[in-house]
Amino acid sequence: MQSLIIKTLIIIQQLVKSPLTLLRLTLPVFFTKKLLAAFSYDFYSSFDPSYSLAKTWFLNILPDFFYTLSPTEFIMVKYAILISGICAVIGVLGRLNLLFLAFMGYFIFGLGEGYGLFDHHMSLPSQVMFALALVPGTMKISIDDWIVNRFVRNETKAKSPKWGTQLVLLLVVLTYFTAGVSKLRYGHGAKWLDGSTLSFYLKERTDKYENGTKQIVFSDNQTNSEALWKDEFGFVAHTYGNYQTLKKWNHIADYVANSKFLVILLSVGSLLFELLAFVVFVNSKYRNIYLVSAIVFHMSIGQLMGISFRQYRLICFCLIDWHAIFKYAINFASKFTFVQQLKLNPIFLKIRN
Amino acid sequence: MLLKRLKKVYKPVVVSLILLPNLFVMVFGIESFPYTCAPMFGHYIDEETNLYLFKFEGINDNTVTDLTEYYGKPEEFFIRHFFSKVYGSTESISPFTNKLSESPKAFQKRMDEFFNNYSSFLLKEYKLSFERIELKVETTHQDRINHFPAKTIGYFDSHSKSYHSVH
Repeated sequence: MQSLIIKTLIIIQQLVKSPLTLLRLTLPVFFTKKLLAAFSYDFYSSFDPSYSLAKTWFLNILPDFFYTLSPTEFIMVKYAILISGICAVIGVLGRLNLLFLAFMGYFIFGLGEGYGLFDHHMSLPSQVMFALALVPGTMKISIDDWIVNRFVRNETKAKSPKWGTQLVLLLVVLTYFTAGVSKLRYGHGAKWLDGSTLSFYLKERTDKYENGTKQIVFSDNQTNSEALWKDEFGFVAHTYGNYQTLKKWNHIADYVANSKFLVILLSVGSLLFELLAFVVFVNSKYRNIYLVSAIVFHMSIGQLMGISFRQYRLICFCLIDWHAIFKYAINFASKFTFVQQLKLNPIFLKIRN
Repeated sequence: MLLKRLKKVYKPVVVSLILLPNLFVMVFGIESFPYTCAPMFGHYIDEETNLYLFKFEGINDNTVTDLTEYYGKPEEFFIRHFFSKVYGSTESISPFTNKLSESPKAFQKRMDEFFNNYSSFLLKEYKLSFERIELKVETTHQDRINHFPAKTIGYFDSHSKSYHSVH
């Protein structure tokens, strides 16, 4: 019993000490699933590589044969994605497979951008997959690590430096911070905080409208006449959508949208949340509070607007400082008599240190 | 020796590779997958904001064909692509695009490429060809109930293979 608990605690400790390993064990599962779902032959073959306006920076640097796969070759690529996803999770040539998946993400969702949909759900996960392939601390609890351990003596094995986790965390922070900056920059500065933009999106029911009337483009009467050389309207941007179709959530969204106080509160809250992203580097407590808030933030948007950002939530969940929480839990548990009777003190001491 | 040097440069190279493109799109306010300035709600809309729908119509003599059903993809994707990557915002740098600058010459080039590509697509996929393809704009509201008569803002002439603005 005691040895089983010790072994379990050691595995948990390894996991919580290495958030990037936790990410490597989970993110490729969802990422691979999404890649396979998005990559159909119809979608792939409808892409015209000679049409330059549909190409992202990444698609521009790829050689032509990437766009001319036969149906058989295409199926082989799909199998390669599946095998790569499995190998990334179990850690067989893990880094190479992570790199391949990131590369396929840049390719497939790049085609998606050319098709007309910049998939913001997948932008951060694709970059995190790329980062996981390159930074230290990703390959704990993997077959690669097990093989390396057999050939490298323990004393020569260096401890994983922390910069890998810090870099992935910084990537997440930059994503939120940039979103905040964009709201101020393109949303008429502090005027964005009056809540009318959020109110518009909370009331929006994009899926309710028939083809031909879904996508709105807008102008804001603020364009000076010299800039109106394309047309007389001065179009500024296209809108995004609200895809929630459940009536219950639509009612709640309407209620929030119609309350000036609530939409201002939401606008100020979300802008502050995004601009204060750097607090994750202050200490563990702030990092955990911020990342849990991010999960709640995405869940709320998911319910009110039907935009799930599931993989963002997973990334935030994995980056929570679980080691600090684990140490706290161990300290807490060690106060109970029945735990003391199990004589786990040496392992508890090791974990605390 | 070489390994030691590689070890020394590895970290700054990886950090730069991952962060610099993100800083670039953040500073310039553009996007190209997977790098984005996250513009999803990064604009301002209130009750005074003018809302529009883009329409494409094929014209042959006096016959007009609404091309909504001939986009080859959902309308949202077609219009988003057209607006962000082809037509472009009135603002010279828009958060929805990958363009770092805008000019009448670049606009003309993009519109010509788009319409030539689209007219080839219509012929290949639907056996449709038109003398002109008109780009129209309808003023609307958020509930899309009240549409106002569409206004032509430009057209593609199949003979000259070129887009002409009516403004």
